[in-house]
Amino acid sequence: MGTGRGGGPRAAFNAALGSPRGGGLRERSGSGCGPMAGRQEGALPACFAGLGAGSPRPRQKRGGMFCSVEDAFDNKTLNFASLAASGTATPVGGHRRDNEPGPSPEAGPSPDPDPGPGPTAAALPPSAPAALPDGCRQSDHILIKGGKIVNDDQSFYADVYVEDGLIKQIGEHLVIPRGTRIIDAHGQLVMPGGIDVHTRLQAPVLGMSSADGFFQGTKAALAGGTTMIIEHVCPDAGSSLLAAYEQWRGHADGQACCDYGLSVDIPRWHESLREEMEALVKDKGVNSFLVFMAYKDKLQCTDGQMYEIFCTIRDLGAIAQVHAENGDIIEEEQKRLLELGITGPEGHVLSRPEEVEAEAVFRAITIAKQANCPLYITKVMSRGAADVVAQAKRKGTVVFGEPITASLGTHGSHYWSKNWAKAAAFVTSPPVSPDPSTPDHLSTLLASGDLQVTGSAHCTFTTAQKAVGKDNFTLIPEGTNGVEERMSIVWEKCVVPGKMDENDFVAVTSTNAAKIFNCYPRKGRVAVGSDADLVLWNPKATKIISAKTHNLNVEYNIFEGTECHGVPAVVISQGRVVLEDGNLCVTQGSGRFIPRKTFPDFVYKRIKARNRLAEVHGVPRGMYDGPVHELPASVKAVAPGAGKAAAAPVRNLHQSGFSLSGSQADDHIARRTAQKIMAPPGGRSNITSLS
Amino acid sequence: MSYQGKKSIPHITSDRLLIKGGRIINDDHSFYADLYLEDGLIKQIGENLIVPGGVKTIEANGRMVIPGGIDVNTYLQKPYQGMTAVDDFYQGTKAALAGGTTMIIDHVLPEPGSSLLTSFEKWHEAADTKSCCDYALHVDITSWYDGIREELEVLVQDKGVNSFQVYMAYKDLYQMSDSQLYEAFTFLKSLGAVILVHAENGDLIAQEQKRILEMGITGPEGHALSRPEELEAEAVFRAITIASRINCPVYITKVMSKSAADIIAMARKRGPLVFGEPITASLGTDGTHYWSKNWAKAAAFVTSPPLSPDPTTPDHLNSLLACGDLQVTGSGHCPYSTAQKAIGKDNFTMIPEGVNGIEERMTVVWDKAVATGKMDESQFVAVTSTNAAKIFNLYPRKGRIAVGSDADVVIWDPDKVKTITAKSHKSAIEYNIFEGMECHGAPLVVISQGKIVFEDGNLHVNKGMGRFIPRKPFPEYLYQRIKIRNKVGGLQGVSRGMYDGPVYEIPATPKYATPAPSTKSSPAKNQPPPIRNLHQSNFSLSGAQIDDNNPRRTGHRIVAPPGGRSNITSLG
Repeated sequence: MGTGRGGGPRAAFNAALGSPRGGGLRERSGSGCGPMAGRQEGALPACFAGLGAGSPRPRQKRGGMFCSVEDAFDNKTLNFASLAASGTATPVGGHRRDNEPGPSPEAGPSPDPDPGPGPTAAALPPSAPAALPDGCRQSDHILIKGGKIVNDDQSFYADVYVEDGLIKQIGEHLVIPRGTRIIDAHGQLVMPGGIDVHTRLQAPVLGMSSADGFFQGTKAALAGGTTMIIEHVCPDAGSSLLAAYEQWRGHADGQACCDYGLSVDIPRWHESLREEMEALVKDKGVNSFLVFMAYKDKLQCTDGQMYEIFCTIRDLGAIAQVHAENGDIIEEEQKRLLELGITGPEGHVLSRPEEVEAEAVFRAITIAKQANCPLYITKVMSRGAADVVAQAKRKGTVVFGEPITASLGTHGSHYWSKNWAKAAAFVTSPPVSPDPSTPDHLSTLLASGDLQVTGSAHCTFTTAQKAVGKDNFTLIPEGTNGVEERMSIVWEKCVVPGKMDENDFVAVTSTNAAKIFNCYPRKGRVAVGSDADLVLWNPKATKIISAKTHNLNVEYNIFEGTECHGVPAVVISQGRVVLEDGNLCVTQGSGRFIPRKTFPDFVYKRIKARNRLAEVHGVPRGMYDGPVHELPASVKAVAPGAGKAAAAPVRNLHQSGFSLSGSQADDHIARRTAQKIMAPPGGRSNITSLS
Repeated sequence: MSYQGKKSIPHITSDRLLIKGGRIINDDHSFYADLYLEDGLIKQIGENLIVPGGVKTIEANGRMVIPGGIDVNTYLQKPYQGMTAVDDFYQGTKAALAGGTTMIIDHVLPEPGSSLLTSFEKWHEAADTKSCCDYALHVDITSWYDGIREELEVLVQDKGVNSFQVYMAYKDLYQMSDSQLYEAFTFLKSLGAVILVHAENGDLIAQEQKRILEMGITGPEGHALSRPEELEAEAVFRAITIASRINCPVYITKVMSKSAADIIAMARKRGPLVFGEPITASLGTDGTHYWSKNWAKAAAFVTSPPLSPDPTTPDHLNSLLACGDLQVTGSGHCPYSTAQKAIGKDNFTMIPEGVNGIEERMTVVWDKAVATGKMDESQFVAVTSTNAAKIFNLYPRKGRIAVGSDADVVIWDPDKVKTITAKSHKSAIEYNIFEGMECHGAPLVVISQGKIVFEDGNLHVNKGMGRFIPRKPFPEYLYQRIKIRNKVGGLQGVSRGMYDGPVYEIPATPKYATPAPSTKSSPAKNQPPPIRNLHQSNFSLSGAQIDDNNPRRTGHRIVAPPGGRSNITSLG
């Protein structure tokens, strides 16, 4: 079988080379599949044109997989050109670049060293533009044949039939309608598409936005086998969460090519946010909120505020996420390092040592435990932090840890690179640990279940953008790439060395995330009725990660040169084939917002039970009727009023003169009144006086 | 000298003492020898000593002769809402001596906002006139204000204070933020001081207190419920993190729970210089009593951090003490009478905090650790006396039996069995938290400054005979390692060529002090916002608190003048 099929694709490939039309090719591939050929023929006219673009050459995988083909395509070259030209590297939106793969090879034939794939790419464009939408629509009925279906609990051999964006049937000898496209998955793993739980494709920093917008970012995600992302909405401190949410929805709806969810960051706490959070949870399908323990004076929350937020989140049934670093210490360290004259990216990691991360994780867990709120640590970057999470789990706390692609795939010794641009590319917070054994340790914990999900924290900036901080590391915009590499890196670091099996792999890249964020089993499982977000994973293929071939707008890839054994061969999103043979076929704005419900069982079942158990009771005693020391009628000592004990909740041991605590709440009230004044009064009072 | 002093003259005139036939225990080894004391010092150690005639001789009969205990944590003058603890320096040190402790280190607790120096002088004076045993003073930093650095310097250089305590609890009162802690630690390190930390997360405690009061729990059990041991462990972890960033030693006062102790033990294994001090209460009893039906009893246990309700805690702490993971023992002695505690009878947050323990400390440690076989006699001496003397730079004047050391000596009887009870204790309070505990091991004779102060159950003390023991900064026991680590741990940047690629132009938004991408100013001068402003967006009015002030101010301005002024302008 192997040889026969091997021949098929080659032939197809040659055919494609020879003629721009995909028809013949399609026919051939259909006939290669044997019994389905007839039906395939029937479907031909509709798919005819579309084949030229991305979906053709279905069998090319073995011959064509070697990155050279990918290399030839898309944006990469274009981006370089634009960068070189402008120097300011405005993130080229690249609107429809992907729908018409033609222009890019045309734009950049010169830098392309590979003569082989070049012509291939060049040969395709004529048919492409018109064809593509058709092509995408065409593949609405898909049968994936002969693959091994891998869920987080078991694997089995079966065919999968996909229709209308849903998985309709799983089994053998399925009865399927005519015109169904058949994808051969022999030797491949059919897995639920990855869920990247942490991206910041729209992160605004210093008035710049990250280099990969929703379009570029989700495209890269799909190229890597990730079919859903959860993006962080980051409102400005003091601005409305709802407004920011709408803004992100607007961006994403217009641009995202894969399904997405939104998680909202809480930049600064005040009481009025409670209603907004409630609105987000009840009406807007958001069930996770992130609080910052770092970024002092900007985003940082105090322990008391975190407690309040966690209590609110628990009552709403959402997930509390934490960016865990001790902002106070970091600020002092930054000051000290700058004084020492250390201004390069190594200062970033020196000022944010891993104990500072571990400390904050520990504190966050303590607070969450007090509030009986489930906690989710974003970006677990160091051994210390991971160990704290693991220990806390052992003690019974409901806590989840999310290592990211960067912490699993590379380490922080690069901060000391002589090449500033390279060093700066690694800047993210918490920093990638300089300890080279960290990735190994984290992947071990991931395999053992002490850490549960993987994100990418994808938030890229071009070198020019990073260079804003060339004289001061604290100004370097933070963020690394990883949305595209995530699945491959996890496979490479965990499955290839035998730390986890394919089922665990599915769990940590997709299923656990779906469970925690309550989109299971719609996402994260190959099952009848689930969304048709599927990845055909080829464990035998190899790929070398490089900035030359990645689907991002940045010049530097922090995983440059990493060889990954195991790559997605075909990616299906919403029932459509979006990646095949290294060709992406995506439609801008096709991504849907996935609203998420509250109280995910995976998380809250335990919390609910504990809430019932954790009630504390006072001790019924007779009244104390002994002597009571007479307080000298001095100052404050709140008369120990009987019964009305609730008066002074804060212990005022040795209370002193003026007790205006809770100053932040006051601040906000003041601001509002101030705003009211600002607009009208200058004018109005004038007008009044004139009239 | 007072009348009382005269009365006891017969006892204290015997300036010269010979202790015969004792087994001398130091923290490193023990041996049989005689001991000759004169002028408050140990003059000779050995056998067949040549001593002047007329020396009073004490027959030790093979009993243990140990250095007098040092109680590193007492609050004999602690003010609370205008009242002070019932045991003052006189009463407290009397109890100390009766228990075999010959030196205390008391905490000076200034009211927030008042000067450290003034408070120090106040304590100094009170102790000088009242204390019956030698003493030293820690100073608590209750707020970090301008000018505190100078005061600290004076205290360290001229006043003989080398230890300062900071608080991570008592929100809006004593609590310091992490930044302040960082600053304080840095400065105290430069002075060579010992940094003591009261480790509890004050923010969370405030929240929990609110919640628990709202639930209608007002009794002393609310105290324990609002201060669960995780909060203690968390703060210990944080304190250690901050200290290890600065590379300074840190000393955790009152280790009350298993988890806090474990954090210290773990940290020590990783390298940071951390010391932990369990107190008599945490070693001898547990927090189940907070649930006692007897309010007075329950309230007597109120201290912070609270006693752990886990009854296995004392055992665990004693084990860690025995293996060296915890190093010293204090008492946190700060007793309030039941009437004083009753101020908080309807609200546990008002109950003045503090337990007894100064008298029971040595006995409790012996009973729980030595009598159970966890530690030997030498380790007992180490944790009750020698380690404290080393950490606080009193060694070898205190904490060791050696020629030239102070004649603070205790003859210890390991077989004596004593039942602790409020009826016979020396403290002034009505309730002893160790009530009914049967302890093996007790002091037989206590000698302070070369004079017998306790014998046959009788105290012979003079008010005010205790001396202030000044302590020098940079105790070697802590700072030797710190100095080397300082040298080894220098940070160095990477020398790179200048980055000369394109630099993204930041849109000229108002708020941001331009990060000076163009200015090639010396990097050292990069004072611009040390705060990283990730995720800033287009209209960048972040840093809301600063903004808060601005609009508010303009608001004020508008409210007052514009009605009038614009009128005037338009009219004119």
